[in-house]
Amino acid sequence: MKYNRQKSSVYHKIIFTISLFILLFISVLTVKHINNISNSTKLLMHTYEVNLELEHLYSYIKDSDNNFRSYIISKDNFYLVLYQNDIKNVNSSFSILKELNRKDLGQQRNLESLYKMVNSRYDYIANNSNLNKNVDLTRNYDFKKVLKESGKRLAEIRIQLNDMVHNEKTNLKLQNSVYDRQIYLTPIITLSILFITFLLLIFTYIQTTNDIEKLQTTNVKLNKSHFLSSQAEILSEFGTWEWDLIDDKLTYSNNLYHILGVAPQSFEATKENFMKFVHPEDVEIVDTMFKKITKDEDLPHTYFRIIRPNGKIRNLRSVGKLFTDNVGNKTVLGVTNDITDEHNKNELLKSNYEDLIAINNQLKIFEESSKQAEILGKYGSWILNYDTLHLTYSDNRYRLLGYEPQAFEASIDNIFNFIHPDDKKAVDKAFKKALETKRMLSMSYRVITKDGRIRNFRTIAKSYIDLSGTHSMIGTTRDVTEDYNKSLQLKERNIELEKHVKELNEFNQVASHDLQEPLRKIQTFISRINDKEKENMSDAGKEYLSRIEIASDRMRVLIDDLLQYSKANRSEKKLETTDLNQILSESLSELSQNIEDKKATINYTTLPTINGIPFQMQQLFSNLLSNSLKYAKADVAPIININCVEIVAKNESILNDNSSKKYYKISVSDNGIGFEQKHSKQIFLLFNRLHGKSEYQGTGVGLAICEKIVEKHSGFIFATSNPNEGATFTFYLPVNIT
Amino acid sequence: MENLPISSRYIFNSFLFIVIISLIVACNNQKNEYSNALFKASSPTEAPITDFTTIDCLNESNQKVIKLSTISFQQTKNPKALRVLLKIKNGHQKIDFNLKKLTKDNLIIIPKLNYNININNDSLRKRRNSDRYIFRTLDNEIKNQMALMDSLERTTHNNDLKIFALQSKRTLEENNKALKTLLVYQE
Repeated sequence: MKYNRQKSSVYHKIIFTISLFILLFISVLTVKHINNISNSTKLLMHTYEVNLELEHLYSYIKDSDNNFRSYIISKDNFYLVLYQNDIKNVNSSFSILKELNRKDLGQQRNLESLYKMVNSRYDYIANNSNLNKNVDLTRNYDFKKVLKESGKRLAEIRIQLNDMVHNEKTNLKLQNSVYDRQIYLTPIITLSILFITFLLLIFTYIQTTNDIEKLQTTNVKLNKSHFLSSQAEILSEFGTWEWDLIDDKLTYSNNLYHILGVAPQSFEATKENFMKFVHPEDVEIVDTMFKKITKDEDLPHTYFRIIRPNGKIRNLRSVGKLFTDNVGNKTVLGVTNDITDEHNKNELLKSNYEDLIAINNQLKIFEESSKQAEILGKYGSWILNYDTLHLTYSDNRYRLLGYEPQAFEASIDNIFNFIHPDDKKAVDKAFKKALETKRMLSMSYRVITKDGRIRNFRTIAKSYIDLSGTHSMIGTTRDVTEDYNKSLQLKERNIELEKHVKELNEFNQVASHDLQEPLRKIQTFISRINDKEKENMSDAGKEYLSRIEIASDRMRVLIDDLLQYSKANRSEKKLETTDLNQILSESLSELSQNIEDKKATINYTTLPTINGIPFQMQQLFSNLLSNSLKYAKADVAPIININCVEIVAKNESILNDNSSKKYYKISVSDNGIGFEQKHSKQIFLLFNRLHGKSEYQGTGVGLAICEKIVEKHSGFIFATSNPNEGATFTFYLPVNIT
Repeated sequence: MENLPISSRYIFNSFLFIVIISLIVACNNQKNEYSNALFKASSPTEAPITDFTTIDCLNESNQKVIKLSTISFQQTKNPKALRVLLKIKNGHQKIDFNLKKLTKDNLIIIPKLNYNININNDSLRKRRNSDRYIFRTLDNEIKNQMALMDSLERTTHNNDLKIFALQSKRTLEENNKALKTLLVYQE
């Protein structure tokens, strides 16, 4: 891992080194100059000492001379002692001067010369002075001569001393001139040092300030980075760790503790403590991992499981790399990632992949079956890419045109080449509209196949966007030639049928009206026979006449019912607001005599107001009520209950409709004789009766009319019953009839 | 510098450290020297390397021994004593010669005085005991001279004088021994 360092650090080191050498150079110069000054001072002091000692020497010589003379004159040994002391002082002076001029050969020679002069003078005085003789010194010529000679020699000593002083001064002057020259630049150098030092200080201050600012900025960045890193750790579910290989010390990040399922820093980061979390089956893996880090100073991807204190098993992945800092410390930096979710996702992906394989197989099957279905159903599919206008045909689409699959490249132009010239314009218009609106409704057109046959095609298409975002139109084209031909036949038959129905209705109406006329005459003549000729008739004739009368009455009822049925079937659908409560009242009023005769009880709830045909609704209620009254038990007073509730179609299983369409559910139930449930549909058929004519009168048209009326109002009617338990007729009318 | 290996960086840093320390030490030493120079300027001169009184006394004692051995040599008739006295005189003349040479080399002046040998002339006149008397005086003076040599050897800082004292002491010891033999013989 590369260790990054700021450039300023390098610049600082270079500047520091240069500054150090400048200071070193300046220091050497300074030391040299100080040395010169010191030497100059020493020299001055030396000269002063030499001169002083020379004066001392001369003084001691003169003192000794005086004391010696005093001794000669007085013969007092006291002066001799003083003389000896003076000699000692002279020796001391010589000793000091010798030491002072240790390095000056010239002065040494002068000193030796001086010593000889002084010593020879003492010798001369000692040899020529008669120390023990009492002589008249004033008259002694030799003594005067010696005195004179000693004075002369003393003057020579003085001269020698002066020479030495002069030499010393000359040396001092010479050396000082040299030092003066050398220390001439001292003030300049001192000022320069101060100036350079000042500049260095300013530069260092600026650089240090800049560095501190950079350091602070870097610190802020580092803090942000640290914060982001922590957040990233939390979001990405990974934790970091450091292993100092030198100190064998481990450090975990807070999130690593979180991953282990414990509070941050809740235990000491050691290998042993970590192993406590490792799944027993993965202990060997983790142990090998630790050994690998120690041995190789690196860690490749390692996967293992841990068990959190709450018992949850988590899958982890660890990876590490050796980091060596600039001072050579070796640390393995690692990341441990909680890959449980990833692991689960992978498992899910595997599962999904297997599912996909299965789906793919199913798709292949579906594709194959689709191809077969296309062949059997005589249809083909196609896909049009809106962006590239590229058209793709299924195999059977080619076959529909009489070609082998993929016999030519499908394109929009190719479509038009096959279309019948009379339909080209319509198809072109529809196609352009489809491109604009992105949808194509069902469209029929003709094509001319490869072998020249004209075939009828119907195409339907729909836009869709696939998972890659491609906008396309997928369409299906079916060869509907057979259907087309059949529909043509059907149309023809429908026309014929409508014609027949119309004729039948006309016949029905004509028959109903025309039949009434001869019947009325028959009944009129029967009435006249009964009034005038009945008494003349035999009993058999009377019986026959009675039967003719009954038959004619029945025929009249039949014709009336048939007329009503015809009327219900024929009437136009003109809906108006109809209050069913009022309609029911009118029906009850119409049947009041019958109700009273039967002592029947009619219970009913409030009924709704609907859009309907009032007279048909009245007929519906009348027919149902009269039906209940008719089929009442012989010894039981009929009780008829009429109820009404609003329901939703999907909640009524009997309607077999999953829509949310609302209906009024109106039921008419009685306590009559009832019927078997298996006859519940049969009773609504025209002229169908469950009982004989002798038991209950009726034509079997009433309930058929009821069904027709309910159907006319877009409703449904059902009957439920059990023998001797009464019957319930329930009809459903839409809340909003259109 | 950034690309330098770690060892080179260590060397560079160590070099800088040594340079800084050397500089500080050098400046410190120079400063001391400078300070000493100033201090020396006001300090008294060093003590002389030799006690001149001892040398004076030594010279006086040696002169006395030579003089006594000369007087004794002139007075005695004993051949053995003559040899001893001659040896003593020669030895002390040699010491005198060496001393003068040393004083000359070391720029030391010795007072040229006539020393009193303190001999009772009456005692010399009595022939019978004069030798013995003079031998005893000579013996005392040699012992005195030996003591002075000891003192010189101990006190002097001059190596030449120290060697001189050692060599002379041997001569003195020999002469003293011979003189003692002579004294025993006299008794």
